[in-house]
Amino acid sequence: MSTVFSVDHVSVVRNDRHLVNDVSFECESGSVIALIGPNGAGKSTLLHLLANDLEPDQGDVRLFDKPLSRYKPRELAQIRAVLPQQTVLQFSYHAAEVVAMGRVPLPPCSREEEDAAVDEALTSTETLHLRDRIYTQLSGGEQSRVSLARVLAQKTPVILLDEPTAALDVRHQHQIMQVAGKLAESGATVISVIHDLNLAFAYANRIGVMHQGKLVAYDTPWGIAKTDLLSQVFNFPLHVMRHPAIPHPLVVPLNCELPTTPLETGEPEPRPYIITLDEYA
Amino acid sequence: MSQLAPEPRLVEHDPAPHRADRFLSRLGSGISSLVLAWPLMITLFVIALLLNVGMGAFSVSPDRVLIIILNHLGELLDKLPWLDPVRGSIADAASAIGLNRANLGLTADISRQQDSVVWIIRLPRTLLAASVGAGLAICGAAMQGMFRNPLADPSLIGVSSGSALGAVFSIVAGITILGAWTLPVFAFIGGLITTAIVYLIARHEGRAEVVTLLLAGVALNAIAGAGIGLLLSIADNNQLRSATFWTLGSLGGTRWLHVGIVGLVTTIGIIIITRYGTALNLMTLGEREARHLGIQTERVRLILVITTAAMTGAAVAFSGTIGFIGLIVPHLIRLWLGPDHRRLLPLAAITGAALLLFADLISRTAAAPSEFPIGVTMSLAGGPFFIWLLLRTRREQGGWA
Repeated sequence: MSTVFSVDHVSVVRNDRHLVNDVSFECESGSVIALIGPNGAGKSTLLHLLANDLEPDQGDVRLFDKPLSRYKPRELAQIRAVLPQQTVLQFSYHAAEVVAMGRVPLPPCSREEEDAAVDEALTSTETLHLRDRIYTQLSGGEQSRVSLARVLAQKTPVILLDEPTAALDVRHQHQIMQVAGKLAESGATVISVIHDLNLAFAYANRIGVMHQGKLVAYDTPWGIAKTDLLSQVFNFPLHVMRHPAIPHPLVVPLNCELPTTPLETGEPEPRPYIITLDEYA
Repeated sequence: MSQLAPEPRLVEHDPAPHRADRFLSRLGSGISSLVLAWPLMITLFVIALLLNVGMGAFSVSPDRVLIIILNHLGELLDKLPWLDPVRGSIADAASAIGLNRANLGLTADISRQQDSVVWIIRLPRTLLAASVGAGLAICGAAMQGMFRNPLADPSLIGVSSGSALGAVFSIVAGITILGAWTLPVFAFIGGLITTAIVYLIARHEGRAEVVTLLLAGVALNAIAGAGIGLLLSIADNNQLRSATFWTLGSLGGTRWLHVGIVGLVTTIGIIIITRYGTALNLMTLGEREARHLGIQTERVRLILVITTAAMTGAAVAFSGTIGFIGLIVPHLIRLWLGPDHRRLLPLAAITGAALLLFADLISRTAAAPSEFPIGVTMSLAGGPFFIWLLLRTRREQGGWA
């Protein structure tokens, strides 16, 4: 395990507002790191800093112990790949052509190797059947999976994802996070902004919690899974418990409205069922 | 119960049918792009070239056209001293394989009149049309990729008007400091300034919004039009005559010098632009995304803006504002072969050349013996095409707004 990113007292200021405020952390290779936090907390800005999209106003970001600004674009493209929140295309490229764009920074190889790499990337996001479809005609979820395949085709040791699961159904959310987990097992570093807290708890090795531009916590899932911390950060009553089936934390909102009429199955109305951590321990 | 049971594992997609599909589609696109597209466009281009030179009020048959061109090329080659050592051996080699004019059937007699019509009047005009068509079409393709917008076109977004304003300014102000290059340089500066303005207005978060882009084009066309009008109102008679030329768009009165300037700029421009096929592909993903993939987008954009402005400027300087060609040609090729810029850019150049040659042929022959400006022909063809494009886009993706 080696240090991949080291972020040292980094701030980004726009219009007198601290989008990122004095953030420091380090991340190790071979791990999945999730960035969570409410809207406007600075998660995406932090990710853009790591992607070298913007320069910090204070502090510095080092990748493999070399300042990000010292990398050449092509060199950086061979080390890290970035999945934006959404990729909008104006022209009718096929899905395979979009994925092949991720291969551009790599050294040239034969047509067969190229095709095999594109197919492999498409297969890992379950989009091989979309290969010859036109990207702009795919659904939102299909587009984001093809875009993820493009990022995987870049074959970089560092992968930055901005809400990769936002447009996906539950099965593909988990499938994408499993891909991230496998990449981390093979030594890659995956840093992902994610909104679904339970998804973050299930797949991340480390979780960073952003709140008003500050990194208020950076720890393992169980270290983050605290009712006080999460309720405060998200400004909403949340409750953390142990998942009944798997050894991960599970977080649920507390004041969701329960159905008042009986379900059509005729079964009795389910009762709110809460186990606190203390009860478990 | 069994219906509710979770699926045990992720479903593997059977790749076999897709592989077959892909083989067929690649075979199809392979045939259409390599076996069909290039030979087809080159053939069309050569036919258009020969027809253009041969047809008109004074008709010259294609074989005579060839003879005249060969005669003049031969004369030119004879004048080159550095060819002397190899000239004898080339002639020997040609006669050894039976390559001479009698065997090729090129023995017809040429009159002086035929010679001068072809060599002095029609050939320069034809080659200028080809250069201008190639240049404007590839500029359209490059701008559309760069702006990430299928509606960018040198005339639509006001770059051509900006070039025309520069050209008219150099005439009316009587500037001649750069000799024959004065006018093209001013047209280039006009085009460069307009491209920069359009870009700055329309660019937002790494892409150009359609509505802003087109409205910026409308505004710049209006401003450049007003500038030209203002200059014309203070021009004297001679200046008025030469300046009116640009507002109409015409290829009449082309001289070899013009062909040389436009041909040189266009050739260099095509060589530069075709090097950025991959970069343009990536830039359609978005500017940030292209940078993530190792493209120095700022540099690429600067080079492309300067190159397209120079090419548009050169084209406008000697043919006036010819619209729509940069819009029609890339669209046709995308419909046929897909949007890959590595294929699109060079094919746009040769298709643009062929298309403008046919348009010029129509301009000269449709209402013979009089001739109407080629800008009029292109707009008559391009306007309806543009409307068709709007309707098609609205039907397929609900419009651009």
